[in-house]
Amino acid sequence: MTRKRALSFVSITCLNRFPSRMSSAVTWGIVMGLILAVVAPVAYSRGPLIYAIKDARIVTVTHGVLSKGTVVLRDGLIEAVGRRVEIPEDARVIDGRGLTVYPGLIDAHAEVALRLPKSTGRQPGGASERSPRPPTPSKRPSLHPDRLAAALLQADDARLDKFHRVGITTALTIPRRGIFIGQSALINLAGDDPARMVIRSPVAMHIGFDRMGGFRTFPGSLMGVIAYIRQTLYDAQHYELAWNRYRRLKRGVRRPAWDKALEALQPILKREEPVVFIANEAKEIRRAIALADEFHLNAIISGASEGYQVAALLAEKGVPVLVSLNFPTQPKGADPQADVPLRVLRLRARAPQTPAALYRAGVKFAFTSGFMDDPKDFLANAAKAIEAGLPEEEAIKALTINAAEIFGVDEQLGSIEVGKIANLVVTDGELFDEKTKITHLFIDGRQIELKEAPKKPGAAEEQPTADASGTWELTVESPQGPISVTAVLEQVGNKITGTLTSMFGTTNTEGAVSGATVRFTATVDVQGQSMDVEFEGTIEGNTMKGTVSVQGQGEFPFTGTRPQKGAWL
Amino acid sequence: MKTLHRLGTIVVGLMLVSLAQAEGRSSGQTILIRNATIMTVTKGTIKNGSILIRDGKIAAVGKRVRAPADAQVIDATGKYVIPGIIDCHSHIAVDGGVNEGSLAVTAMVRIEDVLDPTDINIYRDLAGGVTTANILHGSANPIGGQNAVIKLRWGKTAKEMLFEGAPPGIKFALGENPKRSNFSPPPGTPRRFPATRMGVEYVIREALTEAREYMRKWDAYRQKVAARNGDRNDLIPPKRDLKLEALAEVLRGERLVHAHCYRADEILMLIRLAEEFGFQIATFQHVLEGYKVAKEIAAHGAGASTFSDWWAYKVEAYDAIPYNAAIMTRKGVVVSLNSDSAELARRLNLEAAKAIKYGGLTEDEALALVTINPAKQLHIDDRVGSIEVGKDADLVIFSGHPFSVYSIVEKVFIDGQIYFDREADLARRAEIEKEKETLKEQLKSKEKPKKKTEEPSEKPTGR
Repeated sequence: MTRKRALSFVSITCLNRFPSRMSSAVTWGIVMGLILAVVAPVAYSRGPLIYAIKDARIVTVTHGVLSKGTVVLRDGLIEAVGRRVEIPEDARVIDGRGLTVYPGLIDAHAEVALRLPKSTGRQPGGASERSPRPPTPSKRPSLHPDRLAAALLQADDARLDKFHRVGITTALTIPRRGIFIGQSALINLAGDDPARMVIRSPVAMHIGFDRMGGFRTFPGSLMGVIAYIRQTLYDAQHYELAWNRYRRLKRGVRRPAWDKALEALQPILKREEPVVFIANEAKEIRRAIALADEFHLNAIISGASEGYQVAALLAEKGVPVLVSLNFPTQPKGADPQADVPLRVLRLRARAPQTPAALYRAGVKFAFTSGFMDDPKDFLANAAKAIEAGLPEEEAIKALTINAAEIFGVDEQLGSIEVGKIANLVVTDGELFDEKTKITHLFIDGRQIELKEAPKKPGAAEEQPTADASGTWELTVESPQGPISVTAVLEQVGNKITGTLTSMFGTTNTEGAVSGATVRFTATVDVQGQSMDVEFEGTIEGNTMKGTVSVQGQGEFPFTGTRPQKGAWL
Repeated sequence: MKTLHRLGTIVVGLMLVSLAQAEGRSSGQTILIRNATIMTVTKGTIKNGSILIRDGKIAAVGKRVRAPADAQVIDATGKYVIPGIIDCHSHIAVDGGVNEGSLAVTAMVRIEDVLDPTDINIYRDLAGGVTTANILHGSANPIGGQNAVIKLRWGKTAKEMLFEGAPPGIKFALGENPKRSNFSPPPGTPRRFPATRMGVEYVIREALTEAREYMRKWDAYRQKVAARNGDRNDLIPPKRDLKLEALAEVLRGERLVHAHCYRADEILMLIRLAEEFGFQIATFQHVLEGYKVAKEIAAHGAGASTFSDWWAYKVEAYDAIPYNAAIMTRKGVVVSLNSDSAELARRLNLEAAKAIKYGGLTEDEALALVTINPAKQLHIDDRVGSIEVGKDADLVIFSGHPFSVYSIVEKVFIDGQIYFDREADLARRAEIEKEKETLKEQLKSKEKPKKKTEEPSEKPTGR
């Protein structure tokens, strides 16, 4: 409604500016253009910035639940909240009867609203160097501790709608993969200007355990990754020693070389900034904690699907956890006849028990979407955690104030209190009730338009206009030279199944076609390491071209042809 | 492989049995194994003997052992007890790659960092009587990573599996694998240096020379610190280099070198090189042509950890003979037989038996190949490798003579605790299957058909 008013205001103004002698077609063209120009980049309404939600049930999180109260939002902040609150005259009033107001939900670890650097692929070094000296890891691959997520923000990420639909107003964002990945930013998920989205930056250093390139690039093994992290942190310690000496003496010593990466690592070594490690299985969590202990880092664990096994350890170490709500499930397309090990079945069954286990152990934790592309199961999975024994109010905290506390922004975020950022979710029922709908969403005091989810899963995809069936000869342009891949695909409806054959052997693949765009994924065994690869390309007649992204390697272009379409069928 | 995998998954949960049992027992518990044939390895074989286990150690061994009234008694009439088997060359329980093959020297990587205590192979090998394993880095580079000696304490964490006090070690590799001439790199990728046996020697020499320099730098720093006596304003230590630190430990004799090798010439090369740099090779691994240079190996003081009867599976293994272990033993080399395989590790007792057929070793000598000898090679023979009073109660009860193909491992003790019990294992199998079915049903009913999302790391075992 607000939006309509804003639009009509714009159009009327425009119309008045143009003399009536202009042909109506031209006028409309210009008007539409202007409307689009004004509206297009704005994901939220341009209405007044004073709102009052009255007579609603208010879950403040920090100060209990008001069964009937009013919240006033002004200029992006919560101006008033309480049972008896005077509603400002200039406020837009929302009748809150039958509605519940929660603080905006925080996704405590995501890769969202980021413009990722293209092809962070393999870097020179290691094996690819032809040197009479034994190659050394001096090239420092995947070393980006100085990279700020805040500097990579893009406001117009199409995925924001998906986060809004489940009530997520705020996220800790950072590229997902790498080793020294960079420093995350806590952002509000709306705004024209990326700079205005940032609530806090940097929040944490992110260290991952992604291997680089098998036998080609150091580190190609997990133990190599850990050795590399360890050596780099020792380097950073020594760097500080050397600079301290230089700053102290000034004369008589050669100045050390400035190094942006080692410089950027100082705050974590001084415990001024925490380090987020992605670790899911118990053994991974133990590894991350051991590494943090070795360098006296302030660790935060993200993922923790097997956290129920190590809750006591996490409590003892005082390590906060960002629990992924992307609980492990049977992978899509898994062989239904396959004998799944008991350990894996147990993990799938018990992962939702992690939050309750952490709560009982006294571990501070928040929820994350766990890098779901579409976090539509965010609340449903939080409900699973409740079903597994987590008190509901603790689940709400894990979605709001806990994250704010872990990230050091609990003064301004995470609850409905006067003076805090006006991020609110308004629902027509209990947050974790399956039937509940989100009726309003406010980010920085602005109402966000909730775009409806596509009716059916996959309905957002266009009907296929191309048929991918057949045998394709694809050539991937890798930095090491071209790699031939034979893709035998069969398309039924918009679904694809088939096989990929390359120098790495033959693997099954599956995917989908949307319009003329084809996507298929596979897990390839490269010299004993499994890597996920995803092809995305467009089909034109009997040619296909696009990019293939290889886990931990980056994106590479590919092209291909289909010599005899469907001949094998 | 597939069958194995399936078998493994069936067994996956069984270990929880032993875990539960282990938890129920304090290491302070006293156990008497009674009326067994005890093959002590170092002190002969005792018929109708008993072993008393107390506080995780062997408290008494002999014909007549007095046990306290509250001791748990295990009747082993007709059964054999041997020391826990030690596998001197294993690659089980490693996450994320056994090789850091990207560089020619990767002395900085540590198996200890990536031990996977949930690897089902630990339990399988345990069920074959293995209690200690030397988990080695692969052989892709002349100087590989640091190994980890573990006890197969199934159910414990990675850290708790480490063999406390075992000296650190490192993998070296000679010959075809490190020069990689039999491996095609992906198209467009240049070959990693070195590509020849000459190059392998050069890489090792170069790295050790660099390590010497590194030691000198640190010595100089320490001398300066000592000389300044307090005034250290302008002194900072040299930069730590984890690779060179490990190699410096090799040069100081503090880190055991386990060198993968095949041919006599490369074995001699490494002996010369080690002697030139003033350290000793702890073990030559595989060492299939060791019989040709056994005297030289013995003179250097290295051990040899070889295969029983594998040969001709690659060009440098053409001259292998099954008499290798026996010949080297007769020439005074401390010899062990290893598995290099999660599967073969389950019956190292039979590998040892072959040395009686090929080369005529005595029973004790043959059993020593998989017990006290590997313990000596890993410098842990004061703790394990034989049944002697004061040693760790790492014991295996076989249903019959351990050199018989019909004998089965019935119980395995580590530190006096039962970690494998065949009866309990069999009893739990139906239960495990039932739990799996229940979980599958439970998961099916919960999962609506949805979710295309990334899986948290769910590593299939045995990949």
